[in-house]
Amino acid sequence: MNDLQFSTSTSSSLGQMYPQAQRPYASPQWSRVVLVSELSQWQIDAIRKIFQLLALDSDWDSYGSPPPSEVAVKAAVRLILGIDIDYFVSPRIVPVSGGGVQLEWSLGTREVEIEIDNEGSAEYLKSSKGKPIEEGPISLGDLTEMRSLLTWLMT
Amino acid sequence: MSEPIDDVSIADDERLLRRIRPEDVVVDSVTGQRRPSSAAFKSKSNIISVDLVSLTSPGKTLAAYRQFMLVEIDVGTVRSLGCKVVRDPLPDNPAHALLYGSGPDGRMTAPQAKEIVSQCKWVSVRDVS
Repeated sequence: MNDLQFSTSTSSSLGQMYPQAQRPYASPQWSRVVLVSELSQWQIDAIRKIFQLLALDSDWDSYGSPPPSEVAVKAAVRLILGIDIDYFVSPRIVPVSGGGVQLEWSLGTREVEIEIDNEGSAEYLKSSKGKPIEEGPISLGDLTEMRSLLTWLMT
Repeated sequence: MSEPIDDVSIADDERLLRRIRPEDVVVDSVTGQRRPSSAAFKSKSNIISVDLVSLTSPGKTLAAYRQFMLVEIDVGTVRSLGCKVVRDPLPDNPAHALLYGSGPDGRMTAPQAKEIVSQCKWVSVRDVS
């Protein structure tokens, strides 16, 4: 899987927000360039929130957790980049103890949560009217599966 | 990991306290009320830590973490969701206990975490003593 790098050659808000010298994961391994100008606003907002998790210290949860792992952060960004919906709501982004990241979408009384653990594995939970109705593993590279989840959310 | 054994000496009406980072509070889409994200009751590497309120106080649980918020949920409720509670006193915190879910290695499942955050209650600031 290609690694990610956000182009600083654009005048985008992300490029300005995370200049090369300050990006924690700027390295030769981050070789895939993503033009921010090709992203939807909700994607830019979500990725900005994901990057903010990198600022967390150890013990951020007061129970001794490390900050989200590089693997989890990259997986979360890839997930956002893989969703080809132009107009959508930006998910809530929250850290999970143990180095994970959780993305949460709410529309009406439906909710979808995707938890990415410190090793990059993901699980989803669908809830309706506050009650969990379906859970399971999800492959973040499987766009059909992601579309199905988000379509359910919107219907 | 061996199967945790629910500690029956902990009564159903005992309450469990857990600290919540203010940034991880969300607005519930059904009730419109603020609640913790379910992520606050998930962890891959650790079992969820809680304090038994009968052995401590909200003030003590928050003593070193004044910027955090605090929720409580009763043991009977978490047991009804398939969770187990085990005492795990620490040298500096005799009220410490572990909240096991029914997932692999005692992890909390996503539905269990979701139900817990839907049913937990805020410990208000004025109750902190």
